[in-house]
Amino acid sequence: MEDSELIEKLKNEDTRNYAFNLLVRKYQERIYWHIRKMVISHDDSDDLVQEVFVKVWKYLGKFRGDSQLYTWIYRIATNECLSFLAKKKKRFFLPLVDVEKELANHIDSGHHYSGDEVQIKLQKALLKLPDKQRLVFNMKYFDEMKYNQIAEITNTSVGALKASYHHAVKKIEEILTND
Amino acid sequence: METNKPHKESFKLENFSKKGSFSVPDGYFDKLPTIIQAKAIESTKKAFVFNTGMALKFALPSVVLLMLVGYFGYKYQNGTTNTDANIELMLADISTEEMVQYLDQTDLSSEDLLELVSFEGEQIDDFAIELENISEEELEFLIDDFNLEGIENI
Repeated sequence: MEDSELIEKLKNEDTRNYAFNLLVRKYQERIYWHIRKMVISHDDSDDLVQEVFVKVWKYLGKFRGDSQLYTWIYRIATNECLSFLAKKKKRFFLPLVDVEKELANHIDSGHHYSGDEVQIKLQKALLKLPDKQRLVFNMKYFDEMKYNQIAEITNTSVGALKASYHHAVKKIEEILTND
Repeated sequence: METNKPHKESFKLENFSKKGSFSVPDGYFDKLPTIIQAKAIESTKKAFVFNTGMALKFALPSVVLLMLVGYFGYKYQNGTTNTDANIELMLADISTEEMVQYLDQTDLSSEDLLELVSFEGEQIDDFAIELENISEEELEFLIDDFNLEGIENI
């Protein structure tokens, strides 16, 4: 079902529940993986993906349709991820490096993680990037999104995103070479 | 010229596979929509309960306050408040005989009477002078009539 049709059904009281179910089924996997790459742990991702869709349900009335539905949901998910990571750092009074260690431990534990040694190295190298740079990298490299789409989600200029991605790639290659 | 430094392999990102290395529990995405839908509906209910609760919490005291202000305002306007002056005027209309008759029939104890009546310093002095002037015969009669049980508690 097209997003425009989905929005129409979501605005109608009689078809709202049904349309919401369709929306979740359509976007759940993309949103889950977007979150998972940022917070690493499955349990945290599970909580966050639920939060994201509950917010979508709550604020659907405020969705003006200026952007695509998919961009809007991605934007909520991105905000949730960044707030979650910021809270995590504040809550435990831990410096950035310790949160990085904690996330790396999730990868090492192998809990819902099936990557080979090279993949583990790449994921750990990614954790050394600042959260926002990591986010841009994930959307460009793994999700293969276009810069203008990422710009809309992150509310950043395309030029800044290109520079950010370029720096991220260089840093990762450097980390992996020196590892 | 060759160096003895160990050769470091240069990593190029394009050589990495983009395949996902994370996994989820079996059937996770089949169950997720039901869980999310239930949570979303629950959040709507909570928001309603919260709003009703908040409305009651903040509106109720204001309503009660308004009612009280209205009630006393009405009473004040109509001059029907039971002030001390009003009570005194009311008591002045009652004759001494009627009062004695009432006190004979009522179950008021000495303790109750003492609690109800408050004497100013000068009134107590007047009362003491009157007691000094009382004859021994009259005093004996008064004492016989008193029930002294529990007087220590007064």
